[in-house]
Amino acid sequence: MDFGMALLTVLRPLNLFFITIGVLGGIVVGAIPGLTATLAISLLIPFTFGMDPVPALIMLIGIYCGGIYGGSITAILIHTPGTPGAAATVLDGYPLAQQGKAGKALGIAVIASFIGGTISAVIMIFLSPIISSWALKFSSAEYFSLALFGLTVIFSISEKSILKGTISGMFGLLLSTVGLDYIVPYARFTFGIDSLIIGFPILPAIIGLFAVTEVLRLFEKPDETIEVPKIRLKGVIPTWDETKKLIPIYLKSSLIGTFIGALPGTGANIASFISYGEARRCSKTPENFGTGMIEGVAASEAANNAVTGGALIPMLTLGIPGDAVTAVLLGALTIQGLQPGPLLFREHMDVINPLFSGLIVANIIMLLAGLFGAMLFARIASLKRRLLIPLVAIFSLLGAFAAEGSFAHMLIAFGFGIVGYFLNRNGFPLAPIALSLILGPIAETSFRTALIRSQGSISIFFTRPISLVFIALSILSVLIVLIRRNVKIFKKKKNN
Amino acid sequence: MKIKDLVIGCLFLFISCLFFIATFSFPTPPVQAAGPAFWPQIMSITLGVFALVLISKSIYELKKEKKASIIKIKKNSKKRDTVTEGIKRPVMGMMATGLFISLLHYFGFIIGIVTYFIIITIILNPKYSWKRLTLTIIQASILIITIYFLFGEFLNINLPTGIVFN
Repeated sequence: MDFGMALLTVLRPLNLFFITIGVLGGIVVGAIPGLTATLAISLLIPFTFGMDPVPALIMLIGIYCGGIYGGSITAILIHTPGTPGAAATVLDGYPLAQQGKAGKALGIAVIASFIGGTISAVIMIFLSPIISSWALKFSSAEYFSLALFGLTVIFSISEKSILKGTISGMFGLLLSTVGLDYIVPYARFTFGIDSLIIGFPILPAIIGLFAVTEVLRLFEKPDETIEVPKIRLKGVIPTWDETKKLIPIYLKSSLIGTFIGALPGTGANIASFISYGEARRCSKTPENFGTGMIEGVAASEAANNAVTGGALIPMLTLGIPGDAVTAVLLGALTIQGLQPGPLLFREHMDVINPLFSGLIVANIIMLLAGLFGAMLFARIASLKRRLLIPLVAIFSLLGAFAAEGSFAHMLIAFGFGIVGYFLNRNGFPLAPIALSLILGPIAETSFRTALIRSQGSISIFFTRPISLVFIALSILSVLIVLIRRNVKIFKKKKNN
Repeated sequence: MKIKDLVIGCLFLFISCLFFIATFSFPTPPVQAAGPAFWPQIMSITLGVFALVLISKSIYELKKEKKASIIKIKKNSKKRDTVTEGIKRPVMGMMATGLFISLLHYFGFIIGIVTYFIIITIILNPKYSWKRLTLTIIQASILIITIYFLFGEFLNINLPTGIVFN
């Protein structure tokens, strides 16, 4: 299926309906502070089980796009970023709203998000086949090194404590060994429970970690509400002079966002802050940043939405998720019987091409929805938590059940939710557990297969150039995190 | 917080020991360099080591905290009360969710959802009124109809019907 045909497939009424629902739902969830695209996708994946792969995946892609953009609405209107990626948007978006220019800020935010998302989608379309055809040469040694590199993400996403993040990751790796061994048919760590023979299924585990945990967290402060001011938006579409001024920022921030998105363990928040900093550095009036500069909003929003296309590149071509959202999306592909990685581009172009064009269509729908309905989304986002709690709980548990009609899966989701809640409450990040559950089996199987091929010699990982490069990158990425952290501690001590 | 870290560290140490000991019964294929026990053993040892680091870090910081003044301890105990208070509702939520799963299993999604909605309303608002309760039942009914038609009929998703009614 070529790209034109794929675009026509996406534009079929039913597919267009699903992608629109995805984008609109994503914007609403993204606008609610505390709820993220990860949660929305993990809630909806099980319900896509009975759907064809194309509508199912484009709907989830729509949620991803909408979810990242949605965070900017509450960031601009009420000084509370709906998602971490919109944190930099607050800096200039909220002052603009206070100056009576909320319409302008929201308009620029959605246009920047559209440009960022579309540019990253185009880059993804051109780069992915190249990377996947290169990855076809990978043997088990390269796959192990690649999985190892993917696992180093744990260090960079362990925001507060690297020790706790590492423990979470190791715990996830240990849990990933439960069930039948992939090489020798032997059931490990089942402790007499029959349903554990297949191990911990990814989907219920992810639903438990992200959705059930969130429900339990919402129980802590059920009375919190979002107060959205009643204002009429004016000047949503920027003038030609403003547009001319913003074009270089849109382009540069989109490239920054795509590049950062493709690096494992980074994400929308890092991309938006780096891009914001770059826009400020290049500005003739850097001192005005933070007081309501449209350039600040444009830089942050173009970069955070450009992360979407960038983050999908390693996930689709190598089967390595770079963050929690792509880890969940990887689960969505698996549930549809598709194995992310180089073979996906050889065997399933009928799904890949519509997925690519779906990302572009999702960005167009997001642009229209943002230009004409930003205030409406803000109102829907102020839904009372008392209603939100049972809704999320019911959808997540029914979702865990739905995929295979199994109560054991529901119990696994519930169990992971309880464990996740207590760990998260004590500062242990949950994304490392999800990443380890996905990457653990890949790492173990390829490690042992490589050892069988090399007759027990570990030199196989160091003598093959690509494997060596990934091992070097793994060491480098751990070192960068440790150095960055130590510099931060040193600066803090110096300031005190 | 340090006491909690200590407890969680001990729990992880226990888990790692449990998994490590369990690997002793795994078969060791003679021709393979790494059998089914190899990878879990590495993982459990690494988890154990990091758990030990967390435990020693917590003990060291607890010792440092002991040196703090009585006033500080008093302040901390107040903080601890707030922490326990904050966990009350989530624990009740866990119990309600556990009950919801049992209800789904035995009586299916219609009875399960209505009951869960009512219990959650009571947990979140102990001063509930009959008016609120009626509103909750209406909300639950709308949700049930939506779930039935959207997921059951339109998307062909399995919905739990309950073993009692089967």
